[in-house]
Amino acid sequence: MVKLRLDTRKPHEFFLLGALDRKTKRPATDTYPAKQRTAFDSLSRPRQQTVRMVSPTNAIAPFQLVAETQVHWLQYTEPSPWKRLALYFLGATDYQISLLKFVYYALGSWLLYRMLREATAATPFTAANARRLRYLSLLVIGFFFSHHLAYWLVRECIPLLYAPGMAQPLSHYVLLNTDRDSPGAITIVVLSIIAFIYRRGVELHQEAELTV
Amino acid sequence: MKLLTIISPLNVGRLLAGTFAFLASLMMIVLVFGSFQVAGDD
Repeated sequence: MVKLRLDTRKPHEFFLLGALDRKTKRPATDTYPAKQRTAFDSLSRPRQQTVRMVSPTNAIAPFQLVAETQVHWLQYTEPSPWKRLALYFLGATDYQISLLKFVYYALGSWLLYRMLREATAATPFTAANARRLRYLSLLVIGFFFSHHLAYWLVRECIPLLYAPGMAQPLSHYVLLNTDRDSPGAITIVVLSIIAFIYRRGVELHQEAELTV
Repeated sequence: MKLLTIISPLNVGRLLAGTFAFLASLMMIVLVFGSFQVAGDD
């Protein structure tokens, strides 16, 4: 059984994903054949618990707490262990982990640690640190694109399932665990600029040393 | 003054880097063990 987190408000969008997606036609109906009733279905079950409102029930309270969740879980049986593993490593399952996240944290912390170990008040600009800062910005750019690539790979691994009232297949609504770690375009631009300025600083520092 | 020296940006950065490295090592362990569970789960 695979359990995937969905955000049903909107599908994940990226300018390359539309071109890469499978071109399929939505089935005419979303209805599935009725389930065969078994003895288990006729068993009496306890009544479903209704969630109590957390906000005050009287109208005097100056506020309301409104529960409005759009996060759903998609559960289905995936027979192929390779697909299950692919979904797991891509960060689509409910394990809160992914290979991409691991690589990002491992390489990022390694570069940051080496950079900070070498940077001292006496020698703030070193060629090695300029290189590491460039690698760090490349890592962030790589993570940004790999994150969206992972979305595409996840879509390829999930069968095309349509739910009533939803325009696109359910695979387009899947949320990856790397969502929170994904850097924005501004972060990438700022880091790249800092890396460029730092490199220029190192060059100027070296030139000044040669002049002396 | 000494405290300010300890809480310098460089030291805070080192602490952050160390925390991320620790998280990454934890993630590696969970990834490996989790993959066995996922692969074996029918």
